[in-house]
Amino acid sequence: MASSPERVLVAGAGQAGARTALALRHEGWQGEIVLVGDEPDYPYERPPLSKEVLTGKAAPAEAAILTEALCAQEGITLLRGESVEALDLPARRARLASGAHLPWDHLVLATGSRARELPLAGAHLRGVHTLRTAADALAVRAQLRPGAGVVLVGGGFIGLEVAASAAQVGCRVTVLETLDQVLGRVLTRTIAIEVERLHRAHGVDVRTGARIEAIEGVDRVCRLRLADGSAIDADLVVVGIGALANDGLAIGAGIACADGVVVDAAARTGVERVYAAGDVARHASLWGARGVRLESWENAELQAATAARSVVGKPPQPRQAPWFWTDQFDVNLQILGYPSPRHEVVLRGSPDAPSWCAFMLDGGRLAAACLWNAGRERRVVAQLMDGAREVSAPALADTARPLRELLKAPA
Amino acid sequence: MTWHAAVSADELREGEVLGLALGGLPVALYRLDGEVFATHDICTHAHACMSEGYLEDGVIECPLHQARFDVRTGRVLSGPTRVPLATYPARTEGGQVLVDLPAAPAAA
Repeated sequence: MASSPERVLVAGAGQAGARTALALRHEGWQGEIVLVGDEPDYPYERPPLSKEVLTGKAAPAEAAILTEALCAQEGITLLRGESVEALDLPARRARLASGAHLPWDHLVLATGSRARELPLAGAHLRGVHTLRTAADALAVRAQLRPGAGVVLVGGGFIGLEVAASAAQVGCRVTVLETLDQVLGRVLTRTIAIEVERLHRAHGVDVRTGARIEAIEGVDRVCRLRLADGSAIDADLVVVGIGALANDGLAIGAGIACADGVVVDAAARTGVERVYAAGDVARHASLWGARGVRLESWENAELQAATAARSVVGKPPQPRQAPWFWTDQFDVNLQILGYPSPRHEVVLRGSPDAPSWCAFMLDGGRLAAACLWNAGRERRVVAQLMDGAREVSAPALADTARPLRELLKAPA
Repeated sequence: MTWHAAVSADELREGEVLGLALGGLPVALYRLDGEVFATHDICTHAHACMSEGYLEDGVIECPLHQARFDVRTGRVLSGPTRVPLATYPARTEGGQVLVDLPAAPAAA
């Protein structure tokens, strides 16, 4: 009797899971691939959910990663509306929500992250949403009507992108941020101030240092009450206060976790033949930083490719500085590296101009960069960051000198 | 399909990309190893001009979200789209770059 082919089980069918499945074939995996995801839809990319989907320019399915035809062509078994409930690591066997047991030879954990919920009375009223899935986005979109009062709780990327989309639809929009600046976790003040200015210029009421006391309404939200005694009428509230890793499956199996499954540069967990990729994974070390968990499109793409390479026994490709983008109104903001308040900020061009860059220097080296409608500079900036070369602040600020020339200078 | 005169040949330098409107279409022109190529100028993923992107080794990268296309074939090499970029025949004649475009712009 012929032995059955080896199987890779991918738990989670978001971007990282779906990309892992495709990358496995690309890397020459000949065995079975079973991809298990709890959403009813085919795997799709999430970036459009807070932007084009909310403004009605695109449907979530337009960003599909896998289709029925592609699954058939690539030999991927996709189980939708299903999830992995428990793992038996010694037996290499998973129990699914439906009760079925599925043996695996390699396991990739791509269970993603979930929106953190607001720990307040009223957070479960109708009209209060988080945004994570296509279903969430469609529910929010249905309520974005011109003139509607929309309140974003949290001035992070999700909150600001939804704010921009809602303002573009014609809603009355308020952003509430508890810190004294938006994007406090990811951006330095210089750039955060410009993001706030952009929103205010489009009529968004951005309130920093705002603390919510209560969400009020009978069975549907009608207003938010703030700690300073003020109140804001709301037809719709979207809560964007961060995400938590869906690492319960791994914790239950005894795999090392720390708000995320801890992995090395090859996407390996502490358990042989078990890997993790995407939002759920916490890199033990990535591009000079320890213990980072990245909720980004790029990380889902690259770590999925890494996990697939590890399954087939190939070493990981080297990673560049982490890259992230956000689109708000007419601005495309790209961030490379890890901006920190301790960095020296050097501006290239004026924030009053449609396009400019901010560079963050750490001891003469380029540690991070923000490109404001300046994506065309990204490749050169990434190279400047990866070469670990000395760069001078005046040279970076000199708009008369192409950045490309700095690459030619002796490192 | 109709051939349109785009720019004079010396305006399109080696290894560079140039965006322009031609026959009602946004078109990006490229010169690679002396040869000229033409694609639609708008990324198939989001509304961005490929001519503002990064050109290297015959690959154009979108300035917004890093979708990468083979300039010669329009094929997607990586990035957040699966839809190839429309390409158009292009040649140099009498010091002019000529591009063969579909008659109805909507068809592109």
